[in-house]
Amino acid sequence: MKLLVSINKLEQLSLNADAFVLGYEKFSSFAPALFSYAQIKEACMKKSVFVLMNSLINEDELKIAIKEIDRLKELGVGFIVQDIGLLHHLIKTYDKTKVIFNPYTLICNVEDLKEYQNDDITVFVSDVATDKKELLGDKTALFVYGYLPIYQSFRKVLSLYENGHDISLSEKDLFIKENTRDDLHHIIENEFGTVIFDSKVCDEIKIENLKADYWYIDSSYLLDKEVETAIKRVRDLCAK
Amino acid sequence: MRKIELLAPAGDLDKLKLACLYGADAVYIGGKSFSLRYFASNFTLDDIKEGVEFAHKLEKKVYVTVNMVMHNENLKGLEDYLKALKEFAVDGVIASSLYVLSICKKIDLDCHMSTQLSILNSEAANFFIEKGSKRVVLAREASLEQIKNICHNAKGEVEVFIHGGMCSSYSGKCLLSKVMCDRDPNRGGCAHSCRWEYHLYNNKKEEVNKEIYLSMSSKDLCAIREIPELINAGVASLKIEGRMKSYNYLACVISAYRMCIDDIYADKKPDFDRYLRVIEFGENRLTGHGFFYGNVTVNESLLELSNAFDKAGEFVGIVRGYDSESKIALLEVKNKIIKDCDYLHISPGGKIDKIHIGNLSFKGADFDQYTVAGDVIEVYSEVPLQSYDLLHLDK
Repeated sequence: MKLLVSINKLEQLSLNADAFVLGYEKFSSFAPALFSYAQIKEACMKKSVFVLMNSLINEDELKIAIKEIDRLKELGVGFIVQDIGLLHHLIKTYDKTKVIFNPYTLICNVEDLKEYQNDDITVFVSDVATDKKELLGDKTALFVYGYLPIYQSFRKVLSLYENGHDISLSEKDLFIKENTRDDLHHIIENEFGTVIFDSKVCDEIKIENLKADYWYIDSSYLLDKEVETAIKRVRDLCAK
Repeated sequence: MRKIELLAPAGDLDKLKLACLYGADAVYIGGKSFSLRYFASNFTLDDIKEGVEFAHKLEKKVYVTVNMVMHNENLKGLEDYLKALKEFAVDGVIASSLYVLSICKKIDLDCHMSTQLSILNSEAANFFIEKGSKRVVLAREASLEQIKNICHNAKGEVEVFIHGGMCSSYSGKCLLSKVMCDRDPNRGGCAHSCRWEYHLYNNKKEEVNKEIYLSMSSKDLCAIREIPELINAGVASLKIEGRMKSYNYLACVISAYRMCIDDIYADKKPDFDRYLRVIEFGENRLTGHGFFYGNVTVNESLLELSNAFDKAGEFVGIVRGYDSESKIALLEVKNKIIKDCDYLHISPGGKIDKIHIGNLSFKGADFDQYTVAGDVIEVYSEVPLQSYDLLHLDK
């Protein structure tokens, strides 16, 4: 098992992870922070890096997104993508050991997992899968710690709220709560749309999950201390 | 170029027949398993067989949705089910699973890739087409211009939604219902959580604008005015959403789009106002043009949760038979019907005329009015009626 951790500043490259996930400033809908090409290049010189480009790409953006990927490929980075078009391009043109597909909700059974793995890429298994043990093995990735996205939209929900009611929100990184429930969920809006996160941290740092190739800790909305504690728990578990 | 296909939903066998008669070129249906829309009546295998036979006699196609995002326990019986569909000569399945696609390839059954896959570009479309899919159903977030370019660059058929409910999120990327009430939207259990009332809080957990709730809800899509451009773009199929929708909705919406498509192919100037009037008889939600012109604005959103919509007419009943000698029609009642009144009569082809309904009777007894929904009563009509004609109250 290799531990991937997403970071929000380059100083976190000192954390005890096997590889680091950096949100790219272009085509990353949600990430702890966004990094420029230059910053990613700097990070690559020190550690193993996966670039997160998790936006869903429309036809107008396709050529530009592919161009950015091709530019980043020169740095030898790995990629974590959600869009199947970007995945297709990477499968055709790049070292597949450096490609991780994360569709967030689509892959919940062992047969679909195998079908995607036929292209020799690594695939994230959805956390809502009910029988995870069967799914884990080579070329699988598992989200083990952090806030999972539970809603992704192209709509700019907060801007629509502002425009529709003629009010102004001071920021676009807030919480929402359903009227009859207590849970507060992070909601963010940016140029790519709106994302809502689960109200509770997903914690799958468990011995039975160790068969996965990659474990992923997403540091979005986590304090530095929380990330460090999660990493320590992973290392302690591996040492057992 | 092959004529564009008008693809309509059917929640059960009876609605399949209605959809075919009202002008759909193809219908999509769901079985009792493997499909989203858990709460639709859905089809048994016998229903599917009968439905396919009915449709094929009218030279219409039937696609079966197998678009659930399956967990391991849902895979049981899948291959046998697909083989049965192939045996029944189903024209294709709609799937969100590469595993389903691989089985379909093996048994030579056409497979269309679902909107659940968020296909928004030609590279994504070609990923599935190169793996053997015949057609991809685009995500609803694609604009008209993007659709044109995808059609140009895709190596297979492209299908586009033109009418009906819109997910607030990218289809397939929403787990609100799962998280909030343990109903998995990707396995047919969506509780429409996006249509609930939400409140905003800042990072200090203080409520923002207490008086104004946040709505993520969307108007339904109505793309009748975009049909000419979609035809020119080379789209293969125009899809109406709504396997849970009523007879009335299906009849009116299908009729309207049928008229529009046929008028365009006959080189007639489309009469959008006429088509929209027919749609109004069947629609019960506000509509907009979705993402066809870019990201949605407040005009395509439902910021207030009331569905204030003045329905053009109330759906009274569906004709189940007519005897031309006695001039008695069998009418399945949906809402109150009153004797000796005028009603709007809607029939295939979008024809709407006013007719007079005389006596009402049920099991030999006469009634001045009848209100029991589901009962099939006898009504007098000088005007000949056909099975699947609809009656509406004209407001």
